[in-house]
Amino acid sequence: MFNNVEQFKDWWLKAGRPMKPPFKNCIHTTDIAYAMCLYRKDQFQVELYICKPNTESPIHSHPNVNSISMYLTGNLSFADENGNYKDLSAYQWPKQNGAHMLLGKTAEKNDGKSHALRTGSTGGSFLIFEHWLKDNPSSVTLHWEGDLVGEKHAQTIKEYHA
Amino acid sequence: MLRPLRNIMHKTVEQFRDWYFKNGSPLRPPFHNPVFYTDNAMSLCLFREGQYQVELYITEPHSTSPKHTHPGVDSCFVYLGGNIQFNLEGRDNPDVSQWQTEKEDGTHALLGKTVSSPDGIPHWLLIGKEGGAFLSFEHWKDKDPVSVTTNWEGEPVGEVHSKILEQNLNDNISERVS
Repeated sequence: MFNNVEQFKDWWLKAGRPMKPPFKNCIHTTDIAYAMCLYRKDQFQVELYICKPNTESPIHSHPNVNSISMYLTGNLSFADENGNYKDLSAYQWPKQNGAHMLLGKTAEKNDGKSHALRTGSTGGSFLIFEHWLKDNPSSVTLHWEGDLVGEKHAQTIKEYHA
Repeated sequence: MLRPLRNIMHKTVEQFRDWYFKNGSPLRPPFHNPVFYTDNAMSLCLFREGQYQVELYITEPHSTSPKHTHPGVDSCFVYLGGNIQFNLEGRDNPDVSQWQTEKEDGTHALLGKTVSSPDGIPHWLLIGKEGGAFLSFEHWKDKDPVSVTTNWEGEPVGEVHSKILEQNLNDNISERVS
């Protein structure tokens, strides 16, 4: 068993990144991103997000979810609760093996605090490792406090709770 | 440790798929052209080396992809989740709704099942209310890999897809001219 989200992340990466999406509710879409749960075990899960180019989410939070976001590729940046984005323009380069310089780097550690996300012209993708402290895991797309991304996001939440 | 793919001889895209899974499903999306989207799907290239790549597709609920081919590309699709009906022209296309069941470990009964789609065989997708997700393993035989979203012959998925295909065509023409 895992005591915290860091342990879960380390285990998943060492265990060969198992892809075992849950049968129920593994896919969620919004106006700016598509997500799928790659693996879920008890109160822990990892979701993969693919984000459209030139988009931004409003500041929001996922209460009672501890998370670690990990860069995969693309041009994306996270902001703190005040809307301050990190300038990552110096890291927008490929490595010798063709991957993004930021691949595997931790983008954000978050214990339910507010944050935001935006993408540049290539879009982007990241993994989010999650420890759900109270509710059963579903998706941070659904477990959202703050302004929604758009109409499709609202529809996705509505359909889930219907 | 991941062995370099270029030193491994793959005769088929299925061999590449087997290599990928045996090596722990490496996540190494490329810096260039990793993400594409259409009216009903988004894709991320999870791994690319040489003429081979694997793309993850996540698709909208209640959507379809019309009949199409990906010229010069052998593909095989591996089910991950949701409700997707793959259809290949001239083949038996069993109704997968009979397998919309949960296994004991909480995953989909079709997880890991493969549909091979050789170059030139038209195929089309029907996606149910849960949406769908699958891996597209690809062997690009005569050009550098990009995405099968853009290497598309047939009716586009919708307006967004049409624009992407048009842009891609213009880019290809510009490259040839320069």
